[in-house]
Amino acid sequence: MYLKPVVKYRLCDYKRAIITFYIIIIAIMIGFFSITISYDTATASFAGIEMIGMNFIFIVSLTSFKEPFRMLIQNGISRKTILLGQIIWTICVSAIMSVVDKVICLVGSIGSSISGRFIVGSLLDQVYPSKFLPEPGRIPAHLMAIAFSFCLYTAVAALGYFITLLYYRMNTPMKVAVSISVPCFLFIGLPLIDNMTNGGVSYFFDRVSQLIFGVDGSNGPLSVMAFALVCSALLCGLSWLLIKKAPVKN
Amino acid sequence: MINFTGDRPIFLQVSESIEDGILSGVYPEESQIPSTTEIAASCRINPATALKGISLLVEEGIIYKKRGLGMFVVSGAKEKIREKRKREFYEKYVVQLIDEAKKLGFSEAEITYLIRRGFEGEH
Amino acid sequence: MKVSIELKNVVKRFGKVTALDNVTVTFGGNKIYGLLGRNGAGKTTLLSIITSRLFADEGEVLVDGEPARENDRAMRKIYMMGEATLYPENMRVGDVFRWTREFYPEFSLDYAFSLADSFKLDCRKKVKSLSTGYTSILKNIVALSSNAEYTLLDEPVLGLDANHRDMFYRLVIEKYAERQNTIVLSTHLIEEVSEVIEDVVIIDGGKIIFDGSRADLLAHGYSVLGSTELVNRYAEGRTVIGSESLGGMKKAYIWGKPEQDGVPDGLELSSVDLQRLFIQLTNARQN
Repeated sequence: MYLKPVVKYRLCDYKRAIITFYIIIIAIMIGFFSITISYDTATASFAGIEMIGMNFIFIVSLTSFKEPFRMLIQNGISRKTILLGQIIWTICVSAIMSVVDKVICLVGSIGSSISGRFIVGSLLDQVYPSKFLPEPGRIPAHLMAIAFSFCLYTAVAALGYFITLLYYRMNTPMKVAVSISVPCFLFIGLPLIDNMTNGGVSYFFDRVSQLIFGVDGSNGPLSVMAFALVCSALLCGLSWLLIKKAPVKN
Repeated sequence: MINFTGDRPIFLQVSESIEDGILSGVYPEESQIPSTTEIAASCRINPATALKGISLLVEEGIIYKKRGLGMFVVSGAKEKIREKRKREFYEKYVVQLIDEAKKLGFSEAEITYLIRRGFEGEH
Repeated sequence: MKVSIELKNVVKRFGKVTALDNVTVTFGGNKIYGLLGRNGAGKTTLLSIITSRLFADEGEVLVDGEPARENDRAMRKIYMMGEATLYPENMRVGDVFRWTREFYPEFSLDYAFSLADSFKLDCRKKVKSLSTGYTSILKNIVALSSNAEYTLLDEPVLGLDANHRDMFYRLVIEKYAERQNTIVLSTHLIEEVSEVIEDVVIIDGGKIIFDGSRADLLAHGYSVLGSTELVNRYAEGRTVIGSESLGGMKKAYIWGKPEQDGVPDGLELSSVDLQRLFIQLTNARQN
């Protein structure tokens, strides 16, 4: 299989971006840490560092299709292998970022013990009450955090890739139609329907959230992780349908 | 070396040009001539065409192949080429000359006079 | 198992336009092919379908007997250098070579760098900063260094000056002599490529109008020159694919073989070169 050179190529591509990203994050954290040490009243809280990572990997995925696609087609790679390469890249990068996030959290907590006003925390702690989480500070808790981040990153990356692939396959009229109608539907259409059905839409979303998160987060992080992975798989499948006949455009 | 315009088949031009080289001493007998690839590359022609020209010379016993080494000029090739060209001389030059001469209305005596003049060195 | 690229009944449409109309053709036998056609005849579409850049609407493509579609193994045997530059803009020339080697293990880095040197191509330059000519040179170097069994070059001399074009043809011949692979030169510049190619495929309006050896094609065409009256008389019953008149003289291009004993008195018979034959054949189709 020609997967190895494909994955190697994809990883090399974003190596610099990822490193730059983390250097910036760490620099900001160090900066804020020093501020909290110097000023008695200053507080810095990085609760839910995954949010930033999710943003980053989403944007990176949004630019992951066109250029690599052209390069890989030039080098005789099938679309099947291109998509597989993207999946493996996503898994690798999500895994790496999840682990790095955990390391940052751990180092951050050392900082917290020095300055109580400096807080670094994972999203997990924000969303779920501690009774649904393994005992903090122990290995299972760390693994849970890593796995949680991993699932979120994967889902968000899959979404970004799907969106950029969708836009590539669409012709201009369709792009305009989608770019207008989707936000319209979300921000105007849905509230309208909600009004008309006397809160029917809100009820629907409520039920779905309860299904995923449980009431007051009672389902534990596992259901979100499962939901994220299911979404990733679905988006992968849709991406395959889009990519398998994707022409090389000029 | 090769004339791409005009009617003369390229492979014949290749063989003739090697023959010319043999006659003029550029390729002495038992020496090596350029390979098919070298000829093709430097003339910008397809190797198959070059090979056709070379094969013609092999058939006529003017060059031969030494396995693993290349193509070499046969001993006595010079004479062979001369004989061959002498035989071809009539068809190649005389027929054309007479044709043109007749077209222009020259008599046999006039042509003979011109030929004598040529030999006497008004070159 | 036939060692070749085969297209069978390939049809490709772009909206209402039929770019390839029931195309059946084979490239193989370790020869240098000329894929000749006018602008827009379908050459690039044909090559793009072979390499999966585009998908055929009907028909199939086989590489050494295997279907080529979504087939990594089959694609590995083919290297195409197309008109479109698909390399990332910011990639440097040297990196283009190094990455190609990752995907094509037979790629020769040494050869590529030495060619870059001969052409005075700066390997530290980014793809986007290359001129049209040097972009072609980069792509040609990659294609020639790939050592692929089937090397397809689409308009390889686009933007190249005369010296570089000359170098290019020499390199193609040397590479072919060395590897004995199958090389397809797709171009509308017939004259230059005429003696380099062995077989000819002519495509016109999406249809293959000739597929055979160059020698065969040239043997099928000749011209007669003489007074208009004589020429017209001679041309009767024969396939005339074109003609030119000047004053009372006429030159007719005939498709077919002349008789053994030549042509009647008053007419001059000559062979037709590949480019002229191509022009007449494709013009004739238009009319």
